[in-house]
Amino acid sequence: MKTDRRTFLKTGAALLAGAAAEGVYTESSAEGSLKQNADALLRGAIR
Amino acid sequence: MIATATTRDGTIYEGAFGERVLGQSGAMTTDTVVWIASMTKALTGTAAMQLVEQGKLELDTPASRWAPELADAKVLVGWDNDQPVTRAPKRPITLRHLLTHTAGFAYDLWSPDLIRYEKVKGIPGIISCQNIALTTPLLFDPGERWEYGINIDWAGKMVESVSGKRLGVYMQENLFSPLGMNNTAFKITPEMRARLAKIHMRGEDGKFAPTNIEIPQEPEFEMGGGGLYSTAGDYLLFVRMILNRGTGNGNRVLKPETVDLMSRNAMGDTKVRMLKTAMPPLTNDAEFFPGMPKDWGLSFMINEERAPTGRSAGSLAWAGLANTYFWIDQRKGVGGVYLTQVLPFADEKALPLFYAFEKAVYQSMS
Repeated sequence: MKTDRRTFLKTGAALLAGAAAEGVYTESSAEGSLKQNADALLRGAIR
Repeated sequence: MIATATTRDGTIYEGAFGERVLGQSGAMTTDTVVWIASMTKALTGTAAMQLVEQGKLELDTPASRWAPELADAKVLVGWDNDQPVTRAPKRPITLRHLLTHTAGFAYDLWSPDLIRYEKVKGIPGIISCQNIALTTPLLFDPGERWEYGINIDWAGKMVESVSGKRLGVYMQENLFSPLGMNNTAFKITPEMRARLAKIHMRGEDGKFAPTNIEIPQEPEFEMGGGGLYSTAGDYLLFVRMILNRGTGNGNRVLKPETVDLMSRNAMGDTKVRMLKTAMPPLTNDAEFFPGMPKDWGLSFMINEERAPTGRSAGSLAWAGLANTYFWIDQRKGVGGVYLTQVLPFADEKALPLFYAFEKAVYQSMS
């Protein structure tokens, strides 16, 4: 079970690192202010 | 977490979300103090480059001139039963090797060989801030490849040797005070402690829990590779100084040409590689923008190509173990700092969120 989790984390981190920039978190919009978009993005991630 | 962004002219975003200690009262604020870990490296590198400017340190002279113990460094070539087999390196270690992570030193976090060596020899990890932790072997000859390691701790030792001061004192006088970084230090003051966030770790259940991890406050040596505590606002002053090619808060701390030199690849054809974890509770495998070629300047990672977030090719960046991150895009005149206090490094949520924040910053500029 431990090995599975480790493998998952290894693979997952690499995939997420690549995928993140492609928009895993897509809450921010090209429209609206940086303040509005970043606040919404970061607040949403905390929940 | 705390996130901030700046142009050359001033702060364009700052926000803080969550709690300093999970389950306790006390919200994260933009002046929350955190362990910035390896984000210390760029500051120590800057201190070293100030002394290079003054001709007191040299990039390509054997570093043992200023840190004599480096002449004793050996290359680990294998194991005889449970005993390490070492030999002398083919060439001396230089400050350039140290600032570019090409000296041969490693971190146990990403090296099973180093974990084994420390166990056999009874040497504590570097986070102990004990001098003996600096005596781990090289994994290859200086200059032959990139391997993230304790190099900048040695660069900090060189700064101490030349200046005759503890690293924190040198940095306070020559970097923090001139830039107005009044919340940055190796030793946590009572005033800083009142705003300190705890480091959290993901448990087997995937949930975060607070820990009592703290860098030794009475260390044998001040860890130039990762010992500083700071705030997002303070670090953003440093980012803005680099964006302004050496000036900040009305003071010049580096010459423009020195910033330019630090911002260029300084390790030839060698490339930055993925860090493969040897301690999963503390770090996942980690690589920024996997597949993209990355170089190392004089204490910064440099992405060779434009990143999907909008970060320009040739930008500077790095990070700290507790998922703290920064980037500096000189071409577009923007940079940012994103701080959490969670482990393991390259966390499955914290790192993608940093990228998303960075992307939001660029979207706002388009």
